This record gives sequence, structure tokens and C-alpha cells, in this order.
Amino acid sequence: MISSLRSNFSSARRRALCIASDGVSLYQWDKGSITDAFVFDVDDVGLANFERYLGETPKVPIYLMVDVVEEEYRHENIPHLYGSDRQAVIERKQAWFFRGTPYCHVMMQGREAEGRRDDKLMFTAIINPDIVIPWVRLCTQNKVALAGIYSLPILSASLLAKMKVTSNDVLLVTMQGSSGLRQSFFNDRILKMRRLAKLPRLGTVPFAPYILRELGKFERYLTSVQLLKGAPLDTYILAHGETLDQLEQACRNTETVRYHLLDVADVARRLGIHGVLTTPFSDHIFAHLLLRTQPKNHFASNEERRYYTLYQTRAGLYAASVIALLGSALWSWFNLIDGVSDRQLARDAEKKAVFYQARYDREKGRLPPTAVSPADIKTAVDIVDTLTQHKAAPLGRMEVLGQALAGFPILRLEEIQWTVSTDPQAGTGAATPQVPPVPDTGQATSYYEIAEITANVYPFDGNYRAALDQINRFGEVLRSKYQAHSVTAVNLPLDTRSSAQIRGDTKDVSIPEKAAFSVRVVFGAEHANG
Amino acid sequence: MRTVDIEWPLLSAPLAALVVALIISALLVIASGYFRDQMAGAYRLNNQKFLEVSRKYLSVDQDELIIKEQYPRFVNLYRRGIVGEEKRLDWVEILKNAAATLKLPGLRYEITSREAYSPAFPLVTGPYQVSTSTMKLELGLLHENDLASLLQDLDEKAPGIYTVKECKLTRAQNVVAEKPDDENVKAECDLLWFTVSLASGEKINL
Repeated sequence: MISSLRSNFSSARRRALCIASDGVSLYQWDKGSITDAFVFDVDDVGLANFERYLGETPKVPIYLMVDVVEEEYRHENIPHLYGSDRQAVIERKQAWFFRGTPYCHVMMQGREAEGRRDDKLMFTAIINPDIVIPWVRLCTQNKVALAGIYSLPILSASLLAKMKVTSNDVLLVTMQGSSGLRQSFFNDRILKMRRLAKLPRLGTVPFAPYILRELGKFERYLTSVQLLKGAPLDTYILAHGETLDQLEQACRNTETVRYHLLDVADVARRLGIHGVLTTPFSDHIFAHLLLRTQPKNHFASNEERRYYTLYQTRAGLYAASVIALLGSALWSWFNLIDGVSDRQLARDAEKKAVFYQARYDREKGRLPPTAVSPADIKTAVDIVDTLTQHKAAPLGRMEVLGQALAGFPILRLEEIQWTVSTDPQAGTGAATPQVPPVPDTGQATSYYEIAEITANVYPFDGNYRAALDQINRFGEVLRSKYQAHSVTAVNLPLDTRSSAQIRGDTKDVSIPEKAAFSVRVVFGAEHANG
Repeated sequence: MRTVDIEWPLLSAPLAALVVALIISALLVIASGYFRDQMAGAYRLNNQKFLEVSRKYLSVDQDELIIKEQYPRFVNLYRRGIVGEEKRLDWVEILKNAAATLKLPGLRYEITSREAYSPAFPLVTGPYQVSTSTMKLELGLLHENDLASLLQDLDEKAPGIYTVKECKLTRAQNVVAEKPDDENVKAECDLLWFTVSLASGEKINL
């Protein structure tokens, strides 16, 4: 039977399917809250209606939550391992504890304080998978994304966190319309023990005595397994209306138990649930919690979650498309802004150029016509000035050489080869100066005048020492008196350098008429304006 | 999830959407980028025009000053054959006249074809090309002062500007002759005559 089945199902972004022994509830979530709820019977009719529902609604993901007695748990310590070794140990334990069910889950609950410091694990499983499989199969057949299969008691830990409960030993008591009285014991906010008890139909009997009787059983059990160690047990009971009134009258705090009675409507309001809950049952709260927090899957296999993976992939692809479009739109927007700004600047610059061109044309009209532009007139004149400044003529240096030679009547000039160069070594085989260069006078030397003088010692009396002395003195005069940059002997009457060869014959007493030599003289020159 | 488990029909629509989105995104970015670049280019061009014309406008006064102060010199240089076309005929005539005036015992000359000049010193040429023609002189001189006189004549009368590239003076005979026709000194000199013309080949017409 379907209590609230509609022919046109409204769309929902995600859904919670809560499976209990007496019924299956479905909650649709849209825009941050549960919008619709449906109930299916746990029989073939319910399954058929569920299939019809799946066929007629959009394929939004389903979060399947189980609250059944057939969910068992075991606490076990295993060595602290990593990776595949740890997985192998866990799988072996699961196979040992819960044979024949694929719906197993393990939770790490800390480590032993002493010894090997083993990991403390809680293994849990739905030992009767047939409760779940038909519903899961329908989801898969209809290609509906199954986000996961969840345990309500495990989920209740997050309810405790939302309620900001900080006590060490806490017993959370909730009533579910389809499953009954759920009691979950937490130590240090870690789920240690849970129990599901049947509830009579609402309104047939007073709930309070029944609840307190069931709580008494569970407290005694907790004491017997030594989970309660003297500290008072904080018992949080969620109820509403008449049930809450009855509980308020019946519950008396003792040394071992402290009762905290909470109105389901208040809790719902604190969780942000829209509307007012008017029953003592917490089904809606857990469905809201599941859909709001979307926790990690507990029991579902990868195969069962295949369409959810595809759903996520689709969502990712669509998101990537949107991001690409938004990103490119943003990028394009910036480009557009830059472009429009540049276009405006270009127009402004064009206007200004036209404006100044007109003014320039008008002003230029005043100027007399010239063969070339004024700037080029100046360039041409500057070129000629520079060439004039670098103009060279031999006469000045020749006159200097003439004056120098006048002091040495024994030296007779035969030839002067004069040239100009910016390189003082030009035309030589890098001959070594006999005398050092003239000290820098502070004036810039823009080029060099180079004179190669060919002359004779005439008359020559055969005294090479005296002849060489005359030549050296001539060089000294050029250097000291006439500021020669360098004076280099090219040829001497007798080459006395160690690198040269000297040959003679003592029997030969003839004396040459003249002793030829040549000297290379370099003068630094400054340009005309220098 | 294995590849074989993927139901491609379920992914075809989002994949197609992604491809379309990527194409549209690329087109958007390319088109907007093209628009931005075009506008940036237009701005650079127009701004360059503006800067150029404003610079020219601001330099009108300077231009006026240049025309007033430098243009007469420019015209003079043009007329002297320094700017524009060289005046070889004038050079030859002046050489001959100088030889006759100075009664040089001998004067042979040769002027080579004009070549581009690459100075060894810094020279800003702007739109111009500086060229040189080499004038080779072989002189028979009674005295070396005749060479000075010849160069002075060229300086004063020849239309153009030159520099002496190299010069060789050689004693012609051991005994100095006194007759005007005798050659006591031989001189061989290379003179570079400069001309400045537009590098574009365009003629300068006053």
C-alpha cells in the first residue's frame, strides 16, 4: 500500500529510502529540505509501487538507510596494519563473523592504550541481505543512482554531534514509525552498542512505561558487559506530545541515570528542518540528517553504486562544461573590456592626431619650402661639419718634421710617406716602439698622422755608433719637443737588436758614402674643433 | 569502475555538452582575444601617429629656427657640390689652373668612381649616404711648398670638401736644382672628395 502516492512525482535532487521491518519510507529532498515523503509496504505490492515510482521520477540519486534488527555488530581488535594486509585481515574477519552477506562495514574506533596498541574495530553487517536486495535491484534495473547503503545507528552519531552532546556515556533513544524503539549507546561519542525493540502501534498503549521498561533492560545489559563504569548514563530521549508528557512524569534521575527529554519538534528545528513535526517518531530527522550530510557509503558495493559513479561523472562533465563556459565568458569579458577600452583610446588618439595634424599643417604652411625636412637639413650640415673636423692634411706634420731635421744636418731626408689612420699601428707588422708613447695630454685623439721617413746619415764616416746616436736623438727630439705619439725605427744602418743578424768583413775597409735608415713617426691628432 | 561497465549512452549527452562548451569557450576566447588585439593594435598605431604629429607640431618652432640658421648653409653646401651631385669638371679645371699658376713642373691626376664611405669615426648620417671619390695626384715639385700651395688653392676654390688620405714625398735628385722647370721633389697624394646625397637615391632639388 502507498499512503501518499501521487500520479505526478515532483522532481527531487536526492532521495532517502529508509528500509525498516514494517515499511519503507522515501523522502524527497529539494532546495535544502525534504519536500515529499512516500511509504511503501514491505511486500511485492510495495516493490511494484516503488518500481513505478522510479520509472516516473527523474533519476536523481537515492541514499538507502537501513534500520532493522538484522543488523549485527562485533567489536574486535586487530594488529595495527596498513594497506592490503589490513584489508585482508578485515575481509577475513568479516567473512568469519558475517557469512553470506555482502553488506559489511567496519569502523575504526581508536587503538588500545597498551600492549601492541591494536586497532579497535567495530564490524557491522546486515545479516539478512534479502531485506535490502530487492530495493537495490529495482534501483539498478531502473538505472537510478544508488549513492550508498547506510546504517541508521551509525548515522545517529552525527545526530549526537548536531545536538552538541559532550557526555562520556550517552544513550540516545529514538522512535521510528516503521522500525520501533532504537537505543544507541555511545562512549566518548563512539557508538559501542545498539538495540532495536518493537513498539506498539501509536495510541494503543501508553509509550512511557514501555520505553522505560526497554531502557531498563538495556541499562542492565550495558552494566553486565561492563560498558558502564560508575559514571551516570546520560539518556537522551526524543519524543513529542503526549509521549513526551508521559516520559516527563515517569523519568526520575538517579545516581546512575540522568534523563534528557527532547521534543522531536525542537530537535528538528535545531537541525533546520522546515515545518513542524507532530509525531514522537524521528524518521524524518534521520532522513534529513542523511540527505543533509551525505556521509560515506557504509554497505553498498561498487557494482551497486555503479550508476551513482556514472551520475557523478555526468555531473562532473556538466560542471566542467559550465566551468569552461563561465571561465571563457569571464576571460572573454575581460578581453572585451580591454578591447573596448583600447578602442576608445584608439579613437581618442586618432582625434588628437587629426587635431595636431591640422595644427601642424597650418604652422608648417608658414615655413618656407625646403628641399628636405628641417631635421634632415640639420643632419646634412652636421655631417659636413664632422667631415670637416676630421679633415687631414700632411703639410703641418711635414713642416714639423722639417724643423726637427733642421737640427740634424747630418741626416738627409729622402722620402716621407704620410698617411692618416685611427689605428696608430696601421701599416706596420706591429713594430715595437723604441720610445714609449707620449703621456696623455687630456685631449682626445680622434685619428693619427703616420709618417714613415726614409733618410740617410750623410756624410757617413763609418762610425755606426755615432750614426745610431744621431738617429736616436732625432727620435727623442720628435718625441719630447714635437709630441710624437711614438717613434719607431724601421730600418737602421746597423741593426743591433739581438734578434737580428750582423754580418761583416774586417778585411773590407771601404766605408759607404751614406748610411740609410727609416723611421716611423706617429702623431696623435685632434679634430679641428678639438 | 571498469571501462566495460561504463554505459556510454548515459555519458554521451554530457560529453557532447562538454565538447560543445569547449568549442564555444574556445571561440569566445579566440574571438574576444582577436578583438582585444585588434583594438590594442589600432590604439598603438593611432597613438604612434599622435605622438609623431604632436612631436612634429611641437618642433615647428625648432624647424623654423633650423631653416633660418642652417638652410642657407645647406644651400651653400648644395651649390658647392658637397650636398647633392659632385662637380668633377670644376675640380679638374681648378687643378689645371693651379698647376699653371704655380708653374708646377708636372701634374698628373686620376679621379676614381664614387664609392660609399665608411668612416672610422662616429658619423650620424640619418637619411643620407656619404660617398667619396678618390683623386690621385702625381706631382713634380720644385719645392715642397708647391704642394701646400696646390692644396690651399683646392681649399679655396674647389667646390667640395676633401681630406688627404695619404701622401708620399720623394727627393727627385741629389742636387737641388734652381730652375722653375726642374723637379726636386716628387709627390704622390690621394685625396678623398666627399659628397652627401640621399640614401634613397632621390635627388635633392633646390
